[in-house]
Amino acid sequence: MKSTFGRLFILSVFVIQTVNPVIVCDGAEQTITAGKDSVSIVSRNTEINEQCLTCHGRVGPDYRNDTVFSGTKPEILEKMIINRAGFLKSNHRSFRCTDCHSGDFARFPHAEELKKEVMPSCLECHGYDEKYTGFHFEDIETEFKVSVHCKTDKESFTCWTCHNPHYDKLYNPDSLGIRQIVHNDNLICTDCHENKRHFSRFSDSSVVNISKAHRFLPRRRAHLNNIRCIDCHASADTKVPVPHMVLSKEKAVKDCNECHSRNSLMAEKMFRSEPGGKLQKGFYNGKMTGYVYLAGANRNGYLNMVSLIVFSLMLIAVMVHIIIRVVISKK
Amino acid sequence: MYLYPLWVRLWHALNGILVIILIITGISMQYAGKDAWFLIGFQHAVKWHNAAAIMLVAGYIAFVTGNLLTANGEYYRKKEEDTLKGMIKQLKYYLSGMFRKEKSPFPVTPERKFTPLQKIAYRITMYAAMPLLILSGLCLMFPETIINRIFGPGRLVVFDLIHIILGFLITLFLIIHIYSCTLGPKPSSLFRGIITGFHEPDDQ
Repeated sequence: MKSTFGRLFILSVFVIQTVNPVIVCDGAEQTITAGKDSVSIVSRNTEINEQCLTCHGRVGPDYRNDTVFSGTKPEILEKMIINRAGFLKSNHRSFRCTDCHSGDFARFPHAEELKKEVMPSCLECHGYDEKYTGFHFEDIETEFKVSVHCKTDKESFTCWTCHNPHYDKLYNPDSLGIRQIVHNDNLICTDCHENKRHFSRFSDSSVVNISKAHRFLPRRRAHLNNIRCIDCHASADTKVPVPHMVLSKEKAVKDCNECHSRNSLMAEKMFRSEPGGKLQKGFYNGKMTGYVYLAGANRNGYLNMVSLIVFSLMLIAVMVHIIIRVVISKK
Repeated sequence: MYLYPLWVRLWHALNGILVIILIITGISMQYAGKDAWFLIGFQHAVKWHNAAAIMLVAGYIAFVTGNLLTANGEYYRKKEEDTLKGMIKQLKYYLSGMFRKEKSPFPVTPERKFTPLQKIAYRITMYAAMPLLILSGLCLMFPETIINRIFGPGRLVVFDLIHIILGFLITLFLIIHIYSCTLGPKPSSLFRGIITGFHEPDDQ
């Protein structure tokens, strides 16, 4: 930062912050404490980022600086506040703020035109790179472009609308557990679809009551709590592990047989099972049975076979008895 | 011989219809699929199954109460002749004796409505299988409330297996029951009896 006033300003804010210590330097490893969270990270950019996070890492809309801002609005502050601990656990924690944001932000006060900064998309860093083939960024972009989210009338829908690059974190599905994954994934959707303020950024329509909209479902709560929104609302025709072709509500899955059958859509989408319902641990779509037991989808193959044999034997016995009775009655 | 009071006949008719609905809808749920055109759609099967189940529970309570409060319950109590020997004797009659025009070893009387084989089948079905079927069904109707809270998550499969195995056994019972009702003095005798209340004599 070139302005002397700016440096003094930041230093004064930093001094105030040391009343609640933020950084403890311990050799190469730095421990960052923010509130109750302590995160140890190894990053050469931590100190540089603190220059930004000193202001942008404040919690709550209590920041006021009449020299720099002409009034404050909660929604602006909310968009500009970064949770320090969240960022330091994210995929991008070792990045410098200005790796993604304009280098002109290094100058303080920030130029007015920077408010209109256009952020890079994920593809600009991650696209067409062999290293990231497994994430299917290009396929995600293709699916998104034909999804209903790409056709909003108001503010543009981008990757950042759902995926905050400051907090997004890769997780191991086996360690996180399906239940947590479902919860996390659905939070992304409900953040807009159950929030009038967020929803109004993209549409003039009113927010729909999710529960009422799904009243056609028997055991509505069980469905809403245990299935991802995208399992019914995104196309199954996808190469991407997490489908991004979100469809309009008219095209959502409404036929119960789609999941409650051997060719279960839920097994295919959520558990990446092969179509046709493979027998695993004796149950069709057996991969699912650790999480849920779905009538129609998780029949026991061996039990089916035994019941068919027993039923057939019983029918044969009855038929034989009838035949003997008929023959004898005619004698 | 007046053998079937009105309440028994009404319960029997209602129970019969409900059991058939439950079997058809149960099979429709178990074997659901987009290509299973001959079955009822899953969504409708669930609704009908739940509705019929609730009515069946009401009917079952009426049956047990009726047997406790009226003389009909006597027919289900174990008597001297209701032994393994008696059951084998009756089975032999069905497998060969009736073809040799032998008399039934346990003819129907005002004191004896059921043969030993029938009695054991009805006792097991009505006083063991049905309660378990109903209880497991109720657990499946409210899994978050009952199964998850009391037995822990992941136990749904156990209750489902119990329910469908019992459902299958009752399906077998139903078919054998309907067929064995053709083994009266005439094939239609026992059917007429459960409608009119009067049993036609066995030596007719």
